[in-house]
Amino acid sequence: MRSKLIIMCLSVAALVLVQGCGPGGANTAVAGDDHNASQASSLQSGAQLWADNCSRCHNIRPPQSYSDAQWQAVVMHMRLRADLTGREQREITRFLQASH
Amino acid sequence: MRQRYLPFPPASLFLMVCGICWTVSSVRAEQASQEWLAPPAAAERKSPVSPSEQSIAHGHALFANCLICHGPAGHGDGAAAIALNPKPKDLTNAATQDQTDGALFWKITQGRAPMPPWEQALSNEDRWDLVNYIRTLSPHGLADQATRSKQPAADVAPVKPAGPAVHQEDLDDIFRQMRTLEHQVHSSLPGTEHLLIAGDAAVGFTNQRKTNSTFSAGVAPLILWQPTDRLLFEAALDIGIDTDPSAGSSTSVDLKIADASFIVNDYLIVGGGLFVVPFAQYHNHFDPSWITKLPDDPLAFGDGGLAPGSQVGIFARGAVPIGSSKVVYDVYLTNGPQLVTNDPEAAGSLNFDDFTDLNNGKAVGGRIGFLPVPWIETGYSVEYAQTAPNGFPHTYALLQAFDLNIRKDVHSLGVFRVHTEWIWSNIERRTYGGGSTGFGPLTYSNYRIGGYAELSYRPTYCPHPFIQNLEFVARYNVLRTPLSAPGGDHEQLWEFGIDYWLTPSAVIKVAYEVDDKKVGTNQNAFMVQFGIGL
Repeated sequence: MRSKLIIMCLSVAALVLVQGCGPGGANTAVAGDDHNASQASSLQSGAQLWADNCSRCHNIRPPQSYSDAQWQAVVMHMRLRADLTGREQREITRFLQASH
Repeated sequence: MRQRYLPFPPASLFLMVCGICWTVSSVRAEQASQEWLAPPAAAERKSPVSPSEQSIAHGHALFANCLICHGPAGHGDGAAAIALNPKPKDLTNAATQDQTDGALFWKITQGRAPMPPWEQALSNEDRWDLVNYIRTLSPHGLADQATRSKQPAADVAPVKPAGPAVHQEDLDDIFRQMRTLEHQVHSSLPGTEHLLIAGDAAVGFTNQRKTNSTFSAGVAPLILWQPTDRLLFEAALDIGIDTDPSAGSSTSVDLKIADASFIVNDYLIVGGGLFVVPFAQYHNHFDPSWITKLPDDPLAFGDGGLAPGSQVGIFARGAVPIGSSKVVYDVYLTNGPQLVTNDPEAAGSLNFDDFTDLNNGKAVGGRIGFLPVPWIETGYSVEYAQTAPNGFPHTYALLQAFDLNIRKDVHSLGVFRVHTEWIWSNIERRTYGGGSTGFGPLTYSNYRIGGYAELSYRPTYCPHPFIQNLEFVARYNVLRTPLSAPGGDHEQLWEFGIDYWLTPSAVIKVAYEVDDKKVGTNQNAFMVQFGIGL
């Protein structure tokens, strides 16, 4: 059993290393992203991702449910629960913050 | 027969609930949203972009931004419309089409919650193209366009007597500054830290055959704190009052979650603490009372069920997009469940509620999930754990689960859902009791299987506000435990329910369940529950 444990820990560590520390923070990729086209596609896909991902498990909550800062924490919480990618988290957060 | 003497027999309770829902729906329907007027100067603005074929085609392409709320044909019936207040406007009717180009342009530019402002995201020309496309949604089509400029502007605030000329650019600048200011004020309000208390609460009523009917209640506050972009702390309590007639009243406060998570990159999060283990979907996705569609948990996921809930340990999880599909993965290492060895009522079963480890062996588990399209998720979960207390022969448990969640929004019909999850729980053959324990000895290999299939339908596109908030649910449950084990049984449970959604996160559920046990006493039940998410 102990050897299984060690293998398990090592594989988790390996995953972390292989994946590296690329973009991940909620705001890292958004900064300096002023181009109209990419903003439009971000808001659009944010709206679509919000509807698609949230409604898979529960009724979607309207953007006015939380403040900007609260949405950031709520969407991060939901990233854990619903296994969102970093991009999905950023775009949903950005759409919700823009819409309330 | 006893039911006849109850102050609130099920039938009258049901009628009462229906009455409440009906009243609420009519009150809500009457709440007219505040009228949204464009300022005169903006409304009078003439379109600099002529409605050429090219402009309309471009506007049509840009309309993809609007579909999810305004619907594919602009009727205000997009998939997200059901959750929004005020509702997305019907872009085809007179109320919209009678507005000036300038007014529509201004509204697209500024937005109003829950509609985002499109000023940053779309260029001026894009937004005029969109206005030109919206004109084609009128039932009279382009014919309207010729006469539109002559029509009086219906949606313009009263014009003040002429004063010094105001330039549109100046106005735009003022609006921009106002929005910035609004944002600054908003972000400094209390409650705008990256810290909040959310959670859910429920009040229930159960009338089960052969027991007294009873109310029950619970509150589950959830604390979220995100001190940095990459770090999240979560803690959740489950505060409840147990009014089980056989056990007497008792209150309970259970810690459900207390964990920290760190975002490594877009595809990986690591963390640890007490967390809901990603084994199958129910506990991770549907557990809160405002999400699950029936007043009680599925048999295999409730008390005495087969699925682990929260466990103490570490985890790594994430998602990897593959084209338009997505693969999600979760792995964890925890203290794992405890094997019950000396309780004559439950020997051989797993206790998921005590987080202490009884041995040096840990539980290793995980789930791999696949989303071919965003509305389908299916997954396979596995957990392998050393479960026996010290002094008892090493005993390994192998838990496996399959889950499938389909949620399809069929335009103009409504939302259809199918959930199904099945768990196989296998514990090595062991002997329990005997000697001085006062029971047994019982020897058996403990193979348990349980699961459910749930169907639900909500007619979200029905124009009547009462009917569009109804949801119809049916669930079939199975739980088979070895008949040679203490409390072993083969149970099937049919549940039928009707939910009424007061808001997207507040629901009244009424359900009836038909129980079929091979060994125990069948206990059909009538249940009502009010669930709210905060």
